[in-house]
This record gives sequence, structure tokens and C-alpha cells, in this order.
Amino acid sequence: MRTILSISLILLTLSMFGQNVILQETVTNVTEKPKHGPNCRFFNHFYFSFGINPTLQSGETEVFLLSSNRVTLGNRQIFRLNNYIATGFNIELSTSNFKVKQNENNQRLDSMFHEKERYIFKDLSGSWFIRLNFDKRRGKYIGHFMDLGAYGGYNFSRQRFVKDITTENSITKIWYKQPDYLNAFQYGVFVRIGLNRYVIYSGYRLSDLIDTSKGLTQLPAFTFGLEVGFHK
Amino acid sequence: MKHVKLLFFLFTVQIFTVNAQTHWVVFTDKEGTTFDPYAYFDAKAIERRVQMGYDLYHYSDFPVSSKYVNDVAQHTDSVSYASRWMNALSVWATPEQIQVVSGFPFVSEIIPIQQNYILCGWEDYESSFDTTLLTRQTLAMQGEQFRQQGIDGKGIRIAIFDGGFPGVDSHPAFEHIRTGNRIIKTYDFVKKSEFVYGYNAHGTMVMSVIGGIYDGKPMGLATGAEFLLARTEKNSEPYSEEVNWAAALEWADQNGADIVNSSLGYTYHRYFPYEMNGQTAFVSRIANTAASKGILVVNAAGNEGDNDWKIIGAPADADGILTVGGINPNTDYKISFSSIGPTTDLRRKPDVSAYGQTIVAGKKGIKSAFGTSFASPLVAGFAACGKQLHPDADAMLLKQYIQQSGLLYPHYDYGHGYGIPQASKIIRLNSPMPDKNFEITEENEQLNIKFTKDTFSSEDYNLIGTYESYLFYAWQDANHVITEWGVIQITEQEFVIERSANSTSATSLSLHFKGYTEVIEFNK
Repeated sequence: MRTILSISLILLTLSMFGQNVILQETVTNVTEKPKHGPNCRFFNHFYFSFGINPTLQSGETEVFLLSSNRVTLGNRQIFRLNNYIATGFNIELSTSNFKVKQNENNQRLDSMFHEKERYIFKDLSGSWFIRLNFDKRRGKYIGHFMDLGAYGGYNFSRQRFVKDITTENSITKIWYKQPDYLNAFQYGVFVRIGLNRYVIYSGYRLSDLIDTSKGLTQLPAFTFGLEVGFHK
Repeated sequence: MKHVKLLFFLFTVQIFTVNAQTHWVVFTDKEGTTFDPYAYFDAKAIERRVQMGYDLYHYSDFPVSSKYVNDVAQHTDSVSYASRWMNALSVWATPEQIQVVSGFPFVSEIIPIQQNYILCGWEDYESSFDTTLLTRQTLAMQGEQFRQQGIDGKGIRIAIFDGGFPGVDSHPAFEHIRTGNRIIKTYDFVKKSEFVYGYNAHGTMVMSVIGGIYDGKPMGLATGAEFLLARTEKNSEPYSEEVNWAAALEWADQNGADIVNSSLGYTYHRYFPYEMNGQTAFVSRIANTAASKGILVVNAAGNEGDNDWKIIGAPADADGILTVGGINPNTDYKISFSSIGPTTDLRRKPDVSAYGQTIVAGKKGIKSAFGTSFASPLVAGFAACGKQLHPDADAMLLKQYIQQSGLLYPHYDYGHGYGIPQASKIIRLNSPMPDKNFEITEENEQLNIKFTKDTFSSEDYNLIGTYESYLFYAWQDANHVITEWGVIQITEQEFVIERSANSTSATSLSLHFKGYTEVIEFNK
């Protein structure tokens, strides 16, 4: 029926000469569940997230809390398996910052305390996840869910930045680009809890970002953040 | 690793937090129950039943079996409401508990309960208001004709289901209602108390366009009606509204409501558009029960017309409901956001329409507000006047009268329905159609439309941009399903509609101009 209607609407033309058509609606009756969209077989959307990288474990580099963060823009493809389970993958572009506290607890490459010291990584990563949905009955709506997954990424930009003020009050800023003690790859696991477009997430990096054999402490492994999906 | 453990602990807590859900547990029968209608119903409810010839001892009004309620209560987290009409109990329960309960021999069905509703829109503009619009919102329905005849909904009881009624107990727009003690009963189904004069001001606005008076000007048509005010919605507790809506309908019936106005809709949070068939949503099903008991439920079509959802939501999809779309008062045709029909089982919705931008009374002062939320109460006020005129009409007949009083009737489309109800047409039922005002000649798949000179002459150009200059059209197939509809602004006395030679499904074209409707049949 729907097909017939759709075809008829294409075939049927209404042309008015010398008149102004101010409202025109063709009827497309939806009688089946769509394949694409929230809670449909396939759903694709972009998202943005902001997380912090706190120092939580002993032996990790001590960092400033809000200045050490991870900002992500990503695209997510979800495949619905049934009402309760879905799977999917993300493609993400992220920037991770670690602003290192200058104290004795942090092992350093040099003996100096710097005015500022940062590690900055830009990475392209992919991840796979399993989604558990908790809403027994929902419509064109993602609802409550929890994602469990794993990710891996390539740090295409790796930098260490230091700023120093000399005794003569002159400022020096040095960028160390792609140094060999910053690793090119990272991988880890994550969990997300969401209500439709709003998500809180936590990631745990299993790999090292810094080659600790060079005498450095490891950067924080946890990330906690908020994500907003670009969908209704 | 201790942090990882902490994370998993938190996630586990989250899982269990959301795992218990609300459900309707529907029973097979009402074993061992008795019912005294004279003790249960308000006198007005008895009067309606007697007047309509309904059974005072109808099975659906018997209470739910207390034995069944107790048995289910022992196996679930909590119970909240027992619906007589549905013979069902709403419960909070985990999936495991639901599995146990579903095995009881007296349980016939388990239905998960809706979680999110949408009040059908309101944008608040405090700055200034248009007194012209205040007059026009009732004038568009020929409100002055009701007033001339002394029709103001007197003796008709209207129940309003909404999110709160702050200011109804103090705002001057409702003074005449308070003075006349015409707020018969109130109940807050969220807080389980009688106080409703707080919370969301949406209900206050809705009530004002049913029966408010501002500065001597009627804001709606039913200024003489009686009211039952039910607070059924609360944003921060989204699990309860569907239960509250059902409970409020039974409460309204018990307390003698003739008309219910409900300006809410359930859409994508729970449903897909294809499920808008009047049978899937619980609230749609229970709304039909209300209609069968003589209560006319008037519901907003919804404000999804200009987004992905587009079509009407639930319960506006129910057959028994009078669904109201929105008209833009600045253009006199469908306001862009008003949800459109048909239902997915191809029934005609909306039924009628009214202004989707109105002047309303807020918690304090007077405002302009947008949304089909306000079109619905305008028509609810009209329905009260219709009921006063035709007290013997049951809900479905009254609905039919209101449809037939539409400005466009018998022309119909999925945006305007039958148009804005007109007082003159419900005062004098079966009013004759105006004289033919255009001629149609068919020639080689081409329709030549020529307006009669006195119907549309060059002097009429100052009418452009109003209903008076619009030709409404709807192509229909052999099953009377509209395939395309719209509005054409007439700027010349003659014009041509061309029909593709390949067109096979459209078998008729309905045209409406200035009150006159003609249907041209093809492929006979």
C-alpha cells in the first residue's frame, strides 16, 4: 500500500499556473519499523566528549586535574542485535593533554623544575563495543544503556612542551616533537553509561604512553568524562 | 586495580537501579468483586450514564479484585494504581518478579509502562501580547454566535489533565470560575493530594483558553463550564505519567466529566511512527474506553510536524479521541509544527484544528503561547458549547457534530482536518453549503478551474493571505486515502491543474474554496 502511494505521489503532478502553492504535502505512510535511526537496526551518529585524566594510581605522574584532559570528536555506528543488546564501533579523533606537576614525586628527564610541562598526544583511534540496553520498551530512542569495549589508536602527533623562566626573566618555550620516549600506539578498555544522547564514560589505558625505561613516570591511565551525541 | 573494581561496582549498581520497571499487570477477571454505582459515581456521572442509556453496572466499572492485588503486591517491589477499566494493576517490578507474576493463573497480560511524555509545546512570550489575537482566537470559531445564544458551556463538566495549575486559585482570568465555585474537584496524581495550584503552568494556560476571561474578553468559549483539574505529569518522575493519565481518566469519569482536555503526546521515547495506529499505545486504548463511556477526550495533535517524527502521536491516534491540529493565526492555514495524519492504519487524523498560537493566562499575567496544546483546549471549549446545545449526543456523535462544523467540511486533509469548528454549523446542524463558487472543466488530463466573478474578483486581492483567498485541495485514491494535499493561494480568476497521464492511483480530487467543496471523480 505504501509503495503504491509513494509511486502515485511521484507520478501525480499538480501544476498551477498563475497561482501560488503555499502548502503541499505528499503522504508517505510508514507501516514498518525503519532500518536506520535510534533503536533501529543501524544507527550512525557523531559525538563530542570531554574527559579528565586524573592521577589515581601510585606510580603515575602527578598532573593538574582539569588541565589534563582528553577532547574527542567521533563517529559511532551501532548495530542493534535485539532490544537489549547492540554492538558497534567508533572512529575517533582525540587530543590528550597532561599538565605535569613539578615536584619530587614525578621522575623527570632532566633535573629541572619547569614553569610548565605538558605532554600532548593527538590520536586517531578505533574501538569496538557491546551495548546493553535497559529499557524494556522504547521507541525511536536510544534510552538507558551501558557500553563495554576496547580501543586502539595511533598517536600521530606526540609532543612534550616545557616552559621555563630564566633568572634574567626571559621565557623559553621548547616543543619536543615526536620524541622517541613517547609511544606511537595506545590501547585500552572503556565503559560508558548513557541516557540517550548524554553519556558518562570511563577509559582505562592498558598501554604505556611513555617509555618508562627513559626514567620517566607513566602518565595517568584513567579518563573520566562526559559525552554528548549529536542526535535527538 | 581497586579503582577498576570501584567502577564495576558503580556500574552494577546502575544496572540494578534501572532494572526494576513499571508494568501493567492485566487480570483475567474480577473475581469476587461487587459494585454500587450510586456510592462510587458522582451524581453527574450517573446522570450522563442514564442520559446515554449506558449500563450503570457495567463490568468495566467494577473494582479490581483485592485478592489479585494482594497476591501481586506480595511478589513485586510496589504497586501504585489499580485500573478498573483495564482490570489491571500498575507495579514496580524486576524482570524476575514479572516472570513470577506472569505465571499466575489470573494474569492475562503484562504491559510495560510508558516513560516519557511531551507536553505539546509551549513557548512563553512575556513581553507583550496582541489583543487582536485574543479576540480572534474565539472569533475564528464564531464564538460571538455562541454568546448571542447564551451558550457558554454551562452545566458541562470539563476535566483538564496537565502538569500543574499555578495561579488558577488567584489569577483574575479565572475569577468568574472561582466565584461560581465551578472548580468541582482537583487531584494531584503525582503527589496523591488535592493541591494542584503549583508546579508547571502549562495547565493554567490550557485552562485559560477553555474558559478564562481577561479584561472582559473571553479567552475561550466555555466560560460557564465546570472544571475538574488533574495533575498527571511531572518531568522529573517520568515513570508515572501513563499510570496517572489512566487513573485520571477513571477519576474524571467517576466525577462526571463530559469532556477531557489532554495536551500531551507520547512519541519517539517509546514508539516508532509505524505504531501510531490507535491500538498500540496504552493511552490510546484507554482513551477509546473513555469514549465508550460517553466522555469526549480532546487531545492535541502534537508539535512534531516540522521534524523527523512528523505525524500525530499517542493518544491522539485513538479513534475515540477528537484530535486537534494547529492553525497559524497569521496565515490562516496549518501552523508549521502541527503534527499531521494519517494514522498508520490510514484513519483520518487530525479531526479539526484551531489556532496554534494563542493568548493565555500564565501563572501571573497574560502571555502569548505556541503549540497545539492550546489549539486543543480552544476546541474543548467549543465541544462544551456543542454538548450544551446537544445534551443527548454521546461522545462519538458530539465528535461527529464537531467534525461537521469544521470550516472546510466536507473537505478534509491531514493537516487541517475539517478545519476550525464553526459555531453556526453546530448551532444549525446540517447547514447548507454556500453556493457553488467555481466551475471545473476537464480537458485532456487537465482541470480548468474558474472562479465565479462575484466569488473572486480583482477587489478580492486585499484578501490574499487569509482563508478567503485559499483553495484547499486533496487528491484521494480509490480507498479514500489522501495521497497529496495542500493549499493554493488564488491570485487569478482562472487557473489550470494538470494531472499526469501516468497517474493511476488518484481517483478523486477534493477542492474547497470559501466554504464550498466539490469532489471531482476520475477513472469512473
